[in-house]
Amino acid sequence: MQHVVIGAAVGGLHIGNIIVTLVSFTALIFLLKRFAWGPLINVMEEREHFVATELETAQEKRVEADQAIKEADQKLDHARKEAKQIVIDAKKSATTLEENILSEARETAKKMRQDAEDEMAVERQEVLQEMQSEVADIAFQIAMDIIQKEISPEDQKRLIQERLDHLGEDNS
Amino acid sequence: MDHGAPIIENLFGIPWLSIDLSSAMMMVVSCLIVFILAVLATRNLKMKPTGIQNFMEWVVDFVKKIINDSMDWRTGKVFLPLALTLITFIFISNILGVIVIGVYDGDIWWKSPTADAGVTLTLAGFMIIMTNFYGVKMRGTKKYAKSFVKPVFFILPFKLIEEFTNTMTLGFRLYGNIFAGEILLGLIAEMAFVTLPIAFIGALIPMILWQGFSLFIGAIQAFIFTTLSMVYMSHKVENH
Repeated sequence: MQHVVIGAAVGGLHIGNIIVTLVSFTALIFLLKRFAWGPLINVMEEREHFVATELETAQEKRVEADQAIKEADQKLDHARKEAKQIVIDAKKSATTLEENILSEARETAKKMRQDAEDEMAVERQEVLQEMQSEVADIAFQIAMDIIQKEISPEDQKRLIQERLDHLGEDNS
Repeated sequence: MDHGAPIIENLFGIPWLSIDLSSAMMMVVSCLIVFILAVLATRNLKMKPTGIQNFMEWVVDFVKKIINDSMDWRTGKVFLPLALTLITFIFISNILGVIVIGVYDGDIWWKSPTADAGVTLTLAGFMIIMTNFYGVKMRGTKKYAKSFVKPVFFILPFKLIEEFTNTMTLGFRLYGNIFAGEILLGLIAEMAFVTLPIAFIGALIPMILWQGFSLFIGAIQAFIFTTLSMVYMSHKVENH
């Protein structure tokens, strides 16, 4: 039985089978390459390529970002320095302005005082003069009042004449 | 197990042309199944792979590694579709006979095509011829011819015999493994129907075990056939 089994199944090499095997297997290789392996391998390669490009781009982007950060830091530093400078300048100019205003105010005050003093002096002078004339008038009045009581109109006439004469003498 | 094979002698009246119809049919069936499965599995491929595409890409990576192990990837790249076809075809062929064995009218019709020595030897011979073809194509006729007399001229007969023995071992290893597996499957199946109904249950466990083992053998043999083909290929196409 064993002999029959082996003998029947092995059956020797049949030329027909060789041809069928060769033809179908070769066809299978080409068909699979065209319709299955080709597209599959292409997709895998595409992905590989894609990943590689993406990685490269990411690297580039990172370098760019680093540079941008550096630049930003520099700018920030610069801005900070500028701001500091501005504040210092402002303080300085404020101090100058303060001093200016103060000295101006002082000067103005001084001038105003001077003016006031001057005015006061003039006024006093005027007042003094006015008072002098008024006092003279009053004194004259008083004197007149005193004199009127004792001098008669004739005497007064004479006195005035005398005065007028004197005046005429003085004038000539 | 005393089943015969549907052999037709003198096909088309040509005296030397004989054919084992079951092997021929199974060969074509196997090719069709592999083709349909592969095409279905690689339909609408995406950059972000899902489901079956992941599996197919794993297979591609696996075969890539086989090629990478034996030769430089730049030379081996060309053989990727060939190796992929080899490994998928042999694996599917191997397990076709494990799933079921079809007997009709005393003849075995459904079996593994790789359980036929004619088929496996043809595949092996095809691969050896391919290695020589690519040897000439990639290195030029002069270098290719020189490789037969390296390192000394009297190694030439050994190199020639090696081509022959490579074909024989490659073909018969696959055939022997799968054929033996199918014989044992047949014996176990026969044992199930010997006398008592209890024998059917008794045969169930060894049947399951042996089918599992045959699946394993089928995968291993497909791997070995592909690996050795690529190793032989590397001997021909790489400069040493």
